[in-house]
Amino acid sequence: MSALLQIERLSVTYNLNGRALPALQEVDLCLAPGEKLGLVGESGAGKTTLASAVMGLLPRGATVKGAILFKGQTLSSPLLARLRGREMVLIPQNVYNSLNPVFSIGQQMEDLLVKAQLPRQKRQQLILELLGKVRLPRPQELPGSYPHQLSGGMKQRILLAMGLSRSPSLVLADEPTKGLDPVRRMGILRLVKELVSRNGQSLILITHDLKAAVYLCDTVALMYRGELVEIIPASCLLTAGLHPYTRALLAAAPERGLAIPACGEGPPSPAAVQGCPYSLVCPICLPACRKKKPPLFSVGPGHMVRCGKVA
Amino acid sequence: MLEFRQVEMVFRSGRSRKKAVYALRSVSLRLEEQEIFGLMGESGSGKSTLGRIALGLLAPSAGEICWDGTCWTRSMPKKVRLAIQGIFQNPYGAFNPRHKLAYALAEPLLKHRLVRSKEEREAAVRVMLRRVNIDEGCLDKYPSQLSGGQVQRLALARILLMQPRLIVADEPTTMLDLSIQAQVIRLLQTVQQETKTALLFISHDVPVVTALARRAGIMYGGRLVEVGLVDELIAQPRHPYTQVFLAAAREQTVPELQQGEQKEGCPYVVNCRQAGAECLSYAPPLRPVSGEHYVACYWAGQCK
Repeated sequence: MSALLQIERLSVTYNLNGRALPALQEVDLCLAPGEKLGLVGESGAGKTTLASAVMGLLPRGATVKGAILFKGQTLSSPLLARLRGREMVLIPQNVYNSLNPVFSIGQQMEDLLVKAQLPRQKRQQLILELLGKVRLPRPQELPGSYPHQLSGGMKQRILLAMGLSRSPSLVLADEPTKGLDPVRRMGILRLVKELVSRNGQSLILITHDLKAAVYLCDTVALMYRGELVEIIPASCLLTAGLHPYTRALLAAAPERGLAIPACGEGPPSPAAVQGCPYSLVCPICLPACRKKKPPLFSVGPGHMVRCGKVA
Repeated sequence: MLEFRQVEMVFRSGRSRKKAVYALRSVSLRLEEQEIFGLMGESGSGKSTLGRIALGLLAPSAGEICWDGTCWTRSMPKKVRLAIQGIFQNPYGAFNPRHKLAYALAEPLLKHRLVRSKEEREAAVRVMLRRVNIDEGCLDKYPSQLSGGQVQRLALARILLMQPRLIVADEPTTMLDLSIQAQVIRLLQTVQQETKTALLFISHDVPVVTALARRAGIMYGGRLVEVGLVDELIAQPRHPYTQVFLAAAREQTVPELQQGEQKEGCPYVVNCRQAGAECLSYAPPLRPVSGEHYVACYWAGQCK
């Protein structure tokens, strides 16, 4: 089967007041139709940059190298304009800033459907159907309400409904469960899982909730400072993670003893690191790692690690 | 040490204050000296409201709060206010972005005239920086130049300068990365062991509370529905809501909860499978089931 999304040697560099800030370095990723990929890493790892690059939403100063192919076609801006919102959608992270406060929910949802050239009656019906699908209580009352009248969890569901309204083949969800309590988090995770698998859509879930990624995804890709360090089948992540960074993240979980990982704190240093980016803090680093960046080694079916020690 | 006695909190809004939100309903809770108490519950369950009342930022609508035998209803005595300090979810919000950290950290000492000389003040700040493991170079910086984890640690350093006897930590790690969260939680643990302050840790992260706290409470709909030793609570939750809450935290499939507008009676009644007539009319009080384990459910222990 051919890939739905193929990312080849993608590098993104931001321009920060004349300083070059590498955000992504030669990322290779492949997403099959219907595959669910979790993109895990800490702040500054480049998760959101990767999603923005796919959606063509990078800020103007960013330099992009490499290629992104969607269904075999290289993404260019006219193509992106056609695909965005139809074939691929981004469900943004910040639910509070993502809905317009002065328009009602119904108006905002209808705006999306106007372009689909459906008659008015059909549109209203579809909106109610969508609101019901994301299991919002009393859907018939919602189109008339405004964002400030809804809770964060409800807004999250409305964004989900809006994202899925045109049945896209690729859904990118940026931290959909951030800050939710366990019951609501589980509700959203289950809902996303159900909706996406029902329609056979592909999903890229951006999160730093390892357990959410395991629950929802087939594959998990771990990122560290703009690079992919490990790609692993989700079911193996908690037990068979190999990269020292993956292990450090797992050990930092409260139920595993809150080990303080040697990740370094703060934004990534703009100075280009020779060799493996993790070698600066890596506990098992070899001298060779500091000189040359190890490639992604295949260590099992669907399991790749960028680590000189593992090779 | 700190005790809430049937504390109620009603937020009124709308024309002629007719709309009322009952944020807390008859909450009674005692925090012991030197203990870490974890307060869990969904968003809107009233856990932050209780924290804000503990800090004296809100005056309860009814009920009484006691500290070492002194009780009050409306305004917290100043002596108590100084002994209870808080850290919050957004550490950047705790600092004035236009003040350098040297001033920000020394400000409480200046304001409350806790030190006599400049040297003494600077020494106290330096000691605190060492305690939270942050380089002195940060004193010349602004909060925006530091990472979230560093600023949260500095916020902790600043309240520790007040030598509090109780720290209220309201979701201090929700915004932080996993590795930084581990740092902050570890730091809270060491600080608590060294200074023997009590800690009221508000969070909806079950693993974090389990790792940190000795006792924990679960809130739902403005009521405290279950209190007990953390290990006991995790192993044998009695209240049906606690059971759902803990199962969801373990990625188990749980039913979706309806929002109930329950003025009288048990707040969980709309979602409860075993609710009887008495649950509708009277909210069950917290009753002991064993040792330190209390639950507010008529069916406690027999629930499936």
